[in-house]
Amino acid sequence: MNRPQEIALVCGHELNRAVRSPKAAILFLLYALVASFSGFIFIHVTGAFDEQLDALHMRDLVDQMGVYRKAVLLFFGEGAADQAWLFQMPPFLLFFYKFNLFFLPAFAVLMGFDQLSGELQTRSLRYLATRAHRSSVLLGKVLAQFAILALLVVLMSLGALLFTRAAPESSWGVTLLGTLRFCGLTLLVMSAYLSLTALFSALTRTPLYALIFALCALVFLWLLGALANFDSLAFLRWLSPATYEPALISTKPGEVLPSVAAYLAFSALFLGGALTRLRSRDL
Amino acid sequence: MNTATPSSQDAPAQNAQTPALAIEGLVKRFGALTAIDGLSLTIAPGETHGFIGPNGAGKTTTFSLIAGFLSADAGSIRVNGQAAGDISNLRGVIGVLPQDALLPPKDTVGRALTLYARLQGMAKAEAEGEARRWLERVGLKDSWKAPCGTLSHGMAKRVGIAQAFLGAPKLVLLDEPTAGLDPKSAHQLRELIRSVRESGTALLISSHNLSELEALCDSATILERGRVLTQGALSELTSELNVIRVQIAGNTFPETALRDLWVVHDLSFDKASRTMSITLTAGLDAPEVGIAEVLKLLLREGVPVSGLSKGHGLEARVISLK
Repeated sequence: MNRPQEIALVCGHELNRAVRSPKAAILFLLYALVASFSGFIFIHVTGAFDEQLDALHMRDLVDQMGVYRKAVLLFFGEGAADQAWLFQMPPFLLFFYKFNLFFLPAFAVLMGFDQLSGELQTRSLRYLATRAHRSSVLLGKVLAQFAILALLVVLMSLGALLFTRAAPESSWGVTLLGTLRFCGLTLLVMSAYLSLTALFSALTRTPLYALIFALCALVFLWLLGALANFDSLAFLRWLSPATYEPALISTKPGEVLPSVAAYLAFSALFLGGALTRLRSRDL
Repeated sequence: MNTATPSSQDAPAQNAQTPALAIEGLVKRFGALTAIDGLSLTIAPGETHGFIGPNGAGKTTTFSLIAGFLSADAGSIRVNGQAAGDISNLRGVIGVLPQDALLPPKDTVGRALTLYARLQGMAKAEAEGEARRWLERVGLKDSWKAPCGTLSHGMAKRVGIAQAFLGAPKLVLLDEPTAGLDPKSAHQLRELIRSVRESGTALLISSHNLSELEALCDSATILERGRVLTQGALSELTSELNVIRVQIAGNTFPETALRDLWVVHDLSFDKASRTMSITLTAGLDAPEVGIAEVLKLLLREGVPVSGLSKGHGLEARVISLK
């Protein structure tokens, strides 16, 4: 039995467990409901806005002022100004991408906080530890979490894509490619947060502590970004994964690749920390 | 069964003389506390070794070190000739029943056992067959689909025992295997252990039930505060004090006459078990000389003898060491 086989067995078992787990189903449904509800509100508000523009005969004026463009740049940063494909996407898909990036880290934490801490608490990890490398157990569990998250993102994106398919202002090709791109980027970003969750799950024997610490870490990373607005603390921005997010939408390799590398580095760092802790700790 | 394990492909490991377990100078500290202090132990293939000691003596810590749950501060552990600590060396070679580990509560028994067997290198069908076979041997063949979290303590213990024996490992560590089992299940387990011994699997068993260990083990180690008080073959441990135990049917016996016998050094009587413990005079050619003299006197005086054994019981031996 080699390591990839070990990882595949653990991953398959975890996926099977997740499929039967009420927790996974509830979180899945909850996320879908919150996303749908938020999407509904977004569509309602933008629809009402459009109706008002038409009623007041102000659409041309608004178009001339580039209000939509400014709104997109507000959410995606000034760096998005030369990303033509972004402005051709249906607004709902842009909203959905941002919604995922904001809420999925919390979903990742809620899904995976007990993946190791739960088994450390009951010591059931001992049954695996005499048969599989600890690194294989960790990677198998993280991969299973990633697969669940990927399924959620793909299903939700598919729903969002079908919903916007009829949007007259967007071409089908651009929308499809943009959605695929958003899916990939979302999963890249989430890999870092899944690894962060695995780290905190490996650090403690108590699932509740793992949950609290991981959520605190999310807030801390968000605070790093906020503190970086002060000139004297600007260097802190490089420690926060969110800093690298805006450049991900760029089509220029020189801009996008460093950000992709940064997210992969964050994932490797957190996962390496989890592995080091799991290898050295008493089970 | 474990054809895929590296150790089974390793020629030296196949040698029948290779100990199933060889521990040298093992030390484990938890902060200022030395939990294991220079433990050395060798168990031959097929041997059943008892691990005896009060709570906190270091039994479970030793088990955890052998299984790789803890890392040692000093010393070496070799399982079937291979260094412990690397899972590639241990997989399928060692089976462990941890004392305080719960089975994954949301997994069904069958799914959990099949996963463990597959991680030992078995194909899916073979793993399922092996899991079902062991589940049947521990008397739980109907619990295949039961979630582990719904099992009673005794049932979970039996599933734990089944997983420890999956794939016929060379060495099985059983930490308090009958704790919490009802008498019938405990008896079944003892019979199971006896049958496994015949297949050549070496066993290391810790238990507070000394009569159980006495019945099952070939040898034993008595630990206290992480140190070995004594170890050796069970017959040596229980007979070296030159003591015989005579059980009688009644409560009266010629105590003075017995004490006056030249072969008797000391005598005590336990009314509850109606058992005399007689320490024989030092320097006898063989304990049998003393046994013959004692029996002759008892029969002559008409005392009905219902049982006789040589040596201290393990319990008395353990107590005498403290």
